[in-house]
Amino acid sequence: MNFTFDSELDSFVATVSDFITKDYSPQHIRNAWQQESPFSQEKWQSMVGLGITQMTLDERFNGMGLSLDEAALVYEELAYGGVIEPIIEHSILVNNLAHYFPYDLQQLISSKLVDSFIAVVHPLSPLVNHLTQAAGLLSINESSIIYTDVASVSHTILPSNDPSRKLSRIDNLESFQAFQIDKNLEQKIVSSGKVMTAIMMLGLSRRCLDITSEYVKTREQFGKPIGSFQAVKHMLADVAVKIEFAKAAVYRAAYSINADNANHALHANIAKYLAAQAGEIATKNSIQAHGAMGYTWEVDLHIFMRRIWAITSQWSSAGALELEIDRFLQSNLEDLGSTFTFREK
Amino acid sequence: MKLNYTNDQNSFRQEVRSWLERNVPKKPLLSLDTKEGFEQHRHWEKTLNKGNWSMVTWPKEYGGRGLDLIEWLIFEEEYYRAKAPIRVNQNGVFLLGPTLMEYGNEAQKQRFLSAMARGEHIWAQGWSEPNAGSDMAAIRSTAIKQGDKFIINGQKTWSSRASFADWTFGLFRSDLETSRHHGLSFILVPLDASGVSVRPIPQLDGEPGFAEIFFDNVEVPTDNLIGNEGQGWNIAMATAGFERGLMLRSPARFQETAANLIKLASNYDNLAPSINAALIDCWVRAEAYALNIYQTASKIQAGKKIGPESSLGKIFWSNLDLEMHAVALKILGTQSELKNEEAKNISSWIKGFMFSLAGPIYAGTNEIQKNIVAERLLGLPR
Ligand SMILES: Cc1cc2nc3c(=O)[nH]c(=O)nc-3n(C[C@H](O)[C@H](O)[C@H](O)COP(=O)(O)OP(=O)(O)OC[C@H]3O[C@@H](n4cnc5c(N)ncnc54)[C@H](O)[C@@H]3O)c2cc1C
Repeated sequence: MNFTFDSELDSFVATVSDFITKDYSPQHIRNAWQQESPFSQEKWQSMVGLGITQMTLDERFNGMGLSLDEAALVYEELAYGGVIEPIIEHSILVNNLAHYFPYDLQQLISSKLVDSFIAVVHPLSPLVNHLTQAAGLLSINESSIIYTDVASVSHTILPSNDPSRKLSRIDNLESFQAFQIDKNLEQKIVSSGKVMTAIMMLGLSRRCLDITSEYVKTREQFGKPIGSFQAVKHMLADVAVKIEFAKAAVYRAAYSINADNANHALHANIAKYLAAQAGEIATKNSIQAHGAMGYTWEVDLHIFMRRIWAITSQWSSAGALELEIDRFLQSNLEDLGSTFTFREK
Repeated sequence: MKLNYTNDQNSFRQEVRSWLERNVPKKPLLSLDTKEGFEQHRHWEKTLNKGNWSMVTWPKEYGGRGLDLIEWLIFEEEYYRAKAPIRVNQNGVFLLGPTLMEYGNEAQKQRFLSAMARGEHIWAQGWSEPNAGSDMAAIRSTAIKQGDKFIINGQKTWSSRASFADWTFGLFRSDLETSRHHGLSFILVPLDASGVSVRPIPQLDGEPGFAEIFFDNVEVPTDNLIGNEGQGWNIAMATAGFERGLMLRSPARFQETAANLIKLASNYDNLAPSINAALIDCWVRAEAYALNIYQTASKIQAGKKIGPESSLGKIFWSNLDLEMHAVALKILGTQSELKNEEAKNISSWIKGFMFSLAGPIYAGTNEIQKNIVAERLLGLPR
């Protein structure tokens, strides 16, 4: 039992953090919003250059073969930066799982895993982000993965409340190749979707909290910084508590995916449930602590709040998570209690 | 990261489990806040010590097993699973123990740790005073050095277990020239010393779970000073870190409550969706707490220190505990007020509810914890 991150990854996280500070400013995001497609090939390539797409990719595809829990902090940092390009999605939904895919599908996509972006669509996440930039689309359901060239997808672009997201509704697949999968793999993909959203939520919530902490230190009313008022302090402390107590649950769920833990679905539900709560209070209290400034387009806070609101119901809404957790509890009444958390079946 | 128990950890769990199965009293002990119940609990501490279970993380020479924090968590899980008695000496083993380990000299460790482990000294924490609650730096009780003695005067209050305990670890002003958190000293005082008087205070449940302690020219040898004179505040803050962060409230306690709550609810049909949602929320939070503590324990084992983060934990568990009991009372409805001993599964909830209301107050109120989080973790101005 060792719940710490490999310290060798510290420098990786630091590199990504540096990249976010220097190359991925809120101003960059605002500029990208002015483009026809906010997806920047240049930024994508920079991130590929940092090794992001190789982290969780199995060694057979020239990846580093890290498990999702080890790489989680790096993705969290990218989410903190509000990156527009769906590199977290590609890394977690495709690259981390590619070696579990049917062999023929592996062959088909192997050359696209490191450099390009493969989009994923599933009933729990039915709108595809940045489809036009993708090198392929995987449509996943309980029994199959369907691979399509983007050129053969007919789709309708739908606007998102988050200008960083360019969503497509899939209308028709003109030609495709279907691969049978078992339910286990599909469940692993669903859990990955939930954990991914939870990881992003941690990074984004932390960003909202940081932006707000800085703001309340400088904005003055009644002759002092508003951050010295206790009502404001306590609002932000409440956010810090929610973030802190989502973290370990998220990292454990990430761990369970690659460790083939029999309860990975439960762990993913718990992770997403807690992280979504953190996101909810982070946005609500951050805007409140900014006053009217928080309600403007001008202040950067909304860049990150929009992302939280947009992703919070991806890969299952809060209500759906509760129902699933409830079903688990009802059918495991005798197993709950103090020895439950790490018990192996 | 490796989130499985090792074979050694699994067999350790089995060892704990089978010892507890053989030794936990079949008949529940009387309340530890009665004289007789207190002695029953002291006897249980002795039984624990015979099995070397007083505090598994302590070195063997002081009655421990030299194990790590993960093993301590396993021990706690089994302890709560077995419904073993409340630790009457938790102030000692969980708070003063680690403090002595860090700040005590060798003679003090020899003298106090083993006696604590054997249940010979049951400890009370003597920090709060009538006018120094949240503002602990306003402490007025004094300990003035005269030769090889301290002369102690003043009053402590809200001291848990002090009604029947043997010793208190107190914070006293030893330098009258300085103020606030300067000039305080951390001193151990026997409660049977001449000049000490204890006045029990009945709590919400009617029992004297805490007490006032009056000191009237009490003489204590300077050997009872922990660390240096004037260093008391820093030592107390370290103790409070153990208290809030990890030791005082191991996750097992809340996980058992959460599981009992889910089981309680399963006996009722047609609970309102809001109750159901609250149940799920409570259970998930108990899991979140356990996971967080495992992560914290791993971090400490890897050599990291926990600082103001411990305040996050204190806010989290105290709110969770309160909410779990509040939900249980809603489920019990008109039964919730019953206090009959025969139906403990019902009456334990109202008793637990009342105690859970103290959680956001003791060990530093949650408002104070939020100030600490905002100022020390988020860097907001004072
Ligand atoms: C069951 C129980 C057991 C206890 N056991 C012990 C023990 O063993 N040893 C011991 O020394 N003490 C013990 N205490 C005392 C406990 O530590 C104090 O009650 C606590 O620190 C609060 O102090 P107070 O009661 O004087 O409340 P006050 O300090 O008077 O606070 C009253 C209210 O005002 C708020 N408040 C005060 N100052 C601020 C501020 N700056 N900002 C915002 N809000 C503020 C508080 O949060 C609280 O809500 C125990 C208390 C309880 C309830």
